[in-house]
Amino acid sequence: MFQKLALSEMAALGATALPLLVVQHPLGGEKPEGVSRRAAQAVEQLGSLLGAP
Amino acid sequence: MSAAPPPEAAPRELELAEEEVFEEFVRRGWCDGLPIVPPTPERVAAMVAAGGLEPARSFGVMPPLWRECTVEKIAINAVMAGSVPAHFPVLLAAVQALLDPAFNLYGVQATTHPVAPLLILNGPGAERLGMHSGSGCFGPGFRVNATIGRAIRLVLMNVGGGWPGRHDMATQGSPAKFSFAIAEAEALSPWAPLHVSLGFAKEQTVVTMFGGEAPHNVNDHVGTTAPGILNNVADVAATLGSNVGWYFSQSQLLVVLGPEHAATVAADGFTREDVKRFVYEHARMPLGRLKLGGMYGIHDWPLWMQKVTDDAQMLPLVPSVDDVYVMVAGGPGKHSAVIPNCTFSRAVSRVVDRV
Repeated sequence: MFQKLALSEMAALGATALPLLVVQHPLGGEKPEGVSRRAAQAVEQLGSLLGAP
Repeated sequence: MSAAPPPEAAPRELELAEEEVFEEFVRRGWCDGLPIVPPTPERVAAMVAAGGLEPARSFGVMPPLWRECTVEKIAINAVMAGSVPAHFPVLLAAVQALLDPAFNLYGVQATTHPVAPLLILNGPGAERLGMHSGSGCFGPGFRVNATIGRAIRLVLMNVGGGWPGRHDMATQGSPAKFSFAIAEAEALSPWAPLHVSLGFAKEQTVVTMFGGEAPHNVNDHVGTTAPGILNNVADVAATLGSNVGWYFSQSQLLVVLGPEHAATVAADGFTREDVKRFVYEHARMPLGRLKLGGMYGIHDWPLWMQKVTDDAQMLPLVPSVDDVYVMVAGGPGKHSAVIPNCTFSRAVSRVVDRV
């Protein structure tokens, strides 16, 4: 849901070419194992994004 | 219903009949849902002239879309809101306060919390403009309050891009987001005006922007002493569901005492500083209660609070006595209000020129 805000900000700042790392919402109310799973997914995404051309 | 559509890129001038303007602005996502006054070039020019600044003068970029916030853009939204040129200097000062980094407008605009900037006007200009401070001051019926508050909201939406559900991510929003502007009832206050307590001269007209929730009522028809009333104020302030106290370092409370409550408190010998101290000391919850819910587990407390182990220990909501703001507003009756802030924005004041 916050992706729209991020995309709009990127467009407003002329940074549409930047890669976007997306963490699934919501984080609040998640049990620790759920948060750990999201963190692992984020690290995985980050690795892909950093390796992207 | 889905959220309002995003603002569209548009030509600088539209040729529309007066009765077509509102529909067109709604279609483009340029309104708050209520009818607007069409911002014709003549009306906007008159508004700009009242500010005494060049229309292209920018006060900086406004989040979350980081658009230049110029005098002309503020004037357009002021016209749309139904403001008159005499109000414009207040709006210019208010927008500059909103853009102060201490206010953290990005956080206020984009958060899921139902925060709205409350505009508080103090000083001789408030009376000259007719800004209402009496009965029902937070509600409808007072043009100056309604249109200045609405102009702020339209600026936040149309310049900043704070569109509900798109860039303003408030889960439920707040009626205070339509309009939220009052003056202090200085003549009915037993103490110096709020702006004087913040270091300004009595003769100055000052706008204070406070990023707060809608008012929480304090009903006390019984108290005849300062502690009697202020214990009630403190109890309203201390709730598990509030942001205040969890995100500690920037937590602030605004206490708006009704004139009758203020008179009772002052008759007991309390100064404003005493009121602030009392609320600071009593608006607390025991650690054991804080563990029941709210934000416990993701709270941001200073080390000394983190190290408390006694469940009976009463923990404060705000970092210091000066993070309790106290003012007087309202009419006859035994009601006051507590306005918790959103805890990532601090109140900012600016002098209003030309009012």
